[in-house]
Amino acid sequence: MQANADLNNNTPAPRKSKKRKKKVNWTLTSVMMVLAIFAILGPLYITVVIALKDPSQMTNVLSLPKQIHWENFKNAWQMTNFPKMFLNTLFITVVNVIFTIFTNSMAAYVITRYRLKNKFFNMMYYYFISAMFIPFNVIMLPLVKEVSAFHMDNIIGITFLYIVFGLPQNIFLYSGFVKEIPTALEEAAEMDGAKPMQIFFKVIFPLMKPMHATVAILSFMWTWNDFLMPLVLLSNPDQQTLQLAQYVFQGQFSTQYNLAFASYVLVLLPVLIMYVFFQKYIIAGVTSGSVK
Amino acid sequence: MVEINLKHIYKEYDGNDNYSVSDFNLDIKDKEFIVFVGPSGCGKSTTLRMIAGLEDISKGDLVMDGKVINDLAPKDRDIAMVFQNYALYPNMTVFDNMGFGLSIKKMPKDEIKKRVDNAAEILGLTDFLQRKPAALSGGQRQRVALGRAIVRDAKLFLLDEPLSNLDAKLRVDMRTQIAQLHQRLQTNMIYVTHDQVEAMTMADRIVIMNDGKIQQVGTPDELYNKPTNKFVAGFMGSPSMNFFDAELKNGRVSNGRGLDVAVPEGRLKVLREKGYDGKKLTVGIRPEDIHTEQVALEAMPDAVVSAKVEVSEFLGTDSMLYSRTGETEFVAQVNARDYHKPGEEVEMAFEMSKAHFFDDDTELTIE
Repeated sequence: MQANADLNNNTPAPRKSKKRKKKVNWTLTSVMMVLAIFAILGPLYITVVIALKDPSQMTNVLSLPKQIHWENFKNAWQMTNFPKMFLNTLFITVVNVIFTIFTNSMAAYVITRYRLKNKFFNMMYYYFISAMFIPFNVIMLPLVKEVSAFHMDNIIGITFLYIVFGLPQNIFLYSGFVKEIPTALEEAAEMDGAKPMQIFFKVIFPLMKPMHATVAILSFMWTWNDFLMPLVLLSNPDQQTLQLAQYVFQGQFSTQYNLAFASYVLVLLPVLIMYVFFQKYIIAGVTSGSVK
Repeated sequence: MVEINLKHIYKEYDGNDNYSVSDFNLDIKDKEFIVFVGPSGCGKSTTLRMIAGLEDISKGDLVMDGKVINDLAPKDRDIAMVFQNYALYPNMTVFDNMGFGLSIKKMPKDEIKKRVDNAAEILGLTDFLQRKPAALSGGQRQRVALGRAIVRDAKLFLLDEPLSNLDAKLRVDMRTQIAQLHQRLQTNMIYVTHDQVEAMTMADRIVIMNDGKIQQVGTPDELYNKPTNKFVAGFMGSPSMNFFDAELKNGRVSNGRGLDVAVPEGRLKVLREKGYDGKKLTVGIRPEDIHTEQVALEAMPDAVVSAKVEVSEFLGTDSMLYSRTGETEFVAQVNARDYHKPGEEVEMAFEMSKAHFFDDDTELTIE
């Protein structure tokens, strides 16, 4: 009993929580959020609304359509030769994403693992990273010359270029991720008898899955949305992408805005769907490896 | 029959002036359990990794069954290794982790299953074969790492501090399990640890290292009772040996700071023959060789000091008395019945027949 009494006496009284409540300025936050929503949803609203109007209703771009013109989508579909252009874009995008994941992850893995032991790989790392700071516009014209000299001004050539131009950003992303994979795993696989390619494809490559998802999404969105590179490189009309096809609505004296916007909605949909479903991987992948 | 010989092995890293491992010589007999022990950075893991083939050997020869294997790739050495952090493949199930090495060798699936099931049964992992490593406890992961080595049926097992990430109780359990595994498999094992208790309890022979050099190779008993130098004497045993800088004069060792005890005739004769009479030397005595029982005090009246207990630790069977005589501090490990409170003045007898004497300059044992 005595012991219990002592124990009870010695038990400190529960302290009041000292957690500090951070003050949030809800008014400012709400204003910022409303502005952000307008900045993102505003243009999207205008795009959809215009896509459903006829040219006579264009005087007020913000007004809702008096009569919905679904035929705009049909016309846009025909004028852009949508199925053909869609397949061209899809081919470039899908092949780029697949090859990017395999080749870029392998390059990043080798560079990351050897850059501390070997000056050459360290130099390669900085060489690739420095390429991130060169705007495409600067190298655009020499590239056109070079590509046509090698007869690569077609969808195969442009796909190859996308894989190469993605390297700087993807090596940067993969590198941060590979650093977090313990080298003991590779050593264990080596002791188990695996060869370098087996170590990469059976052990390391599956572990990079979150970063593969990020790279795939970023590559997909970049390739799908890109206008400039197809514009300067794809000379054959049959090999053009959906983005280039949007030019057909622009005449010398007038632009068919309702059809153009209907077409934009059609082009936008795959990326929008992709983003909505996979956005969590983009955020997770971009930030992974940055902090322990 | 597997014999491994390490002949004058050196390891030098680029940009490092000193050898990380130097002149490492060791002959490992068939089915022997060897433990490399030493403080952090002493080169024990580097040596193990050189044997595995994960590090290049800068100089010397690594011989296995009469063949020099310095340049042989790890996969061709027929060596299995257990890593400190387990290194289990997170994307594979326990079954796939254990069978990975066999599937790489393109072994038939039936044979892989047979071997994995057998290893899982030995290690008590049968119910976890379809789980991923993330769904296992630390002890289970450790057993999977062991299982991955067992299924390989390799000539040599290397274990790099495999228990260091486990809690104290689990470590004791796994220690027993590894020792039993060695008896069952009858394979050569080289085990690296910085824990001298693990080394003492598991090894057939211990290799104790410091600063990249072998300090002594021997059985646990030899290392504990006949250390070749002050480092080995201090490293083996917990709490570690008490050392005193003293002078041998008139048959007694004295440090002029409170310690003054007689040296038994036999030991004195050796010290005199080696020319240490009137010279400085280091005296080492293990905590358990300092006694407080009356019978010991009466048996060794010339080696009794009066000490004040400063801190005492009750450990159940024993008590640690951190004491001071004059300005000399030491620790005595006595029977728990002889527990003394801090502040008590206690008579303590130094059993000098078990003391160790070291040369002040070379730190080698005087014998």
